[in-house]
Amino acid sequence: MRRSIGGGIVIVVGLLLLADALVANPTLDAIAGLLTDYLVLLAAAAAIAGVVALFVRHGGDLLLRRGDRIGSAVLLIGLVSVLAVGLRPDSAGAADPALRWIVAALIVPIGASLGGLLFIFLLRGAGRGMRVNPREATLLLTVAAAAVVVLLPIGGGVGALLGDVSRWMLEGPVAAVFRGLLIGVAIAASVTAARFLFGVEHTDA
Amino acid sequence: MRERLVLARRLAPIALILLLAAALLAGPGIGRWDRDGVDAVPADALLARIDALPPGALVLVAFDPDLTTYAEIRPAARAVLETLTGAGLRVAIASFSPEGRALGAAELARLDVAATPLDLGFIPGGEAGLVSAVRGIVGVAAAGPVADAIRAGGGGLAAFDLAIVIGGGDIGPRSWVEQVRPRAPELPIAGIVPAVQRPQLDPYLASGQLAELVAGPDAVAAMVGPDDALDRRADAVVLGSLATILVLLLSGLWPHLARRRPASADADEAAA
Repeated sequence: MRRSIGGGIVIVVGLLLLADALVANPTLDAIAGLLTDYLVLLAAAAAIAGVVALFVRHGGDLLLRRGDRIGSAVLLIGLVSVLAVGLRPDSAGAADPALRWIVAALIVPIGASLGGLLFIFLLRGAGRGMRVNPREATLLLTVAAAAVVVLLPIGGGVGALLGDVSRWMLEGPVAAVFRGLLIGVAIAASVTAARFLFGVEHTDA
Repeated sequence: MRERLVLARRLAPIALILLLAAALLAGPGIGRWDRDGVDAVPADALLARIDALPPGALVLVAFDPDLTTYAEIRPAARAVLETLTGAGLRVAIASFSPEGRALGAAELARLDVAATPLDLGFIPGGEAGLVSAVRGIVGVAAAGPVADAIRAGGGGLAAFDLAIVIGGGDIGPRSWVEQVRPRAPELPIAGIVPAVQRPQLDPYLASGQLAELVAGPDAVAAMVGPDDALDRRADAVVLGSLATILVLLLSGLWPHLARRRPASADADEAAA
């Protein structure tokens, strides 16, 4: 079976890391450590490449007057501001107070607001689901509404009753579904990895 | 008429939010986290474990929540940071996800204590970064007594006496149990996570692979104790939840109501 260089590298690295997890051997441990360090460096390099690609793409959009130029300008200003604060002389890098302020006062609230918008989109999606597929959507939304009700943080006898029901839901059906999913995903991932490692799966990765 | 209807539908979410805010300001006072039967054991167990650490013990706070669920566990995360730094422990903070790093930096910026934690920053590579941190987590530029103590302990995660993982994103207590525990079995791992992660973490807690687990708003409230801001948040959750159910009901009823509209209205809509 013809294999690409990339596929071969993945197989060798995968088997080495697997062997390191199973066998206590200092040499194997050192090799696995080196490979893990390379992987971390690769991830860091990918992040830097992503930033460069963003810069080129949106800088190009601005220069060539195409796409969403306001969005591109905002993105580039944000990018340059963070880089300037973090890389200027005498900066403490990621721990610099100015950088922490940018993160705490701008990035986190903006990210949280985007997360909050999910609530609106979820409700809109619920309405659309009722129009497109009313039977399944009704079941889904009924269960969702029931979950919201039992999680209501209220006091008194009603609150205690809801607490008991929510605990039973979490420890019973919800836990069963989650564990089933986890076990299923783990088995599927193991089978896929084994097929790939042993060349059963046709791949030119 | 139709334009007004479209405008009303577009403004409905804003009106709903304003209505909820007004109701919250009126202070209904019906929400409370410490409802009867709430289990305070997980929070007490984590606080007891922190109390039992000897003075000067090394504690790592792995800060990897995600933005959408962080609000749920924020009070507990802040309480843990303040408890650790106030207890005379040597604390370091690190993140293995960019989102966690942003949130961790924000928390460090607001932390007003004399002994600030050692900021180990963002460690890239996801789970590979976690594996790499077992062998070495202190960068060459890190200085100070906490950094020196970690180096004296081998420089990796095994140097710590306790790791508290604030999760919510892809990297969390489960990743720590899978990647760190086999490589540093002596390191106790505790987790603070939103309720959504509890079902997948309960088996790790039951098996002892996780030392402690504080999951969900009830446990967070038990950890923080009586707090006005938390009570206000409980009110907000009750109002928001009831509004959600109302909107879900309306979403369910709307198609039936729309079907009963006169045929001319449908024709107008089709023409538009």
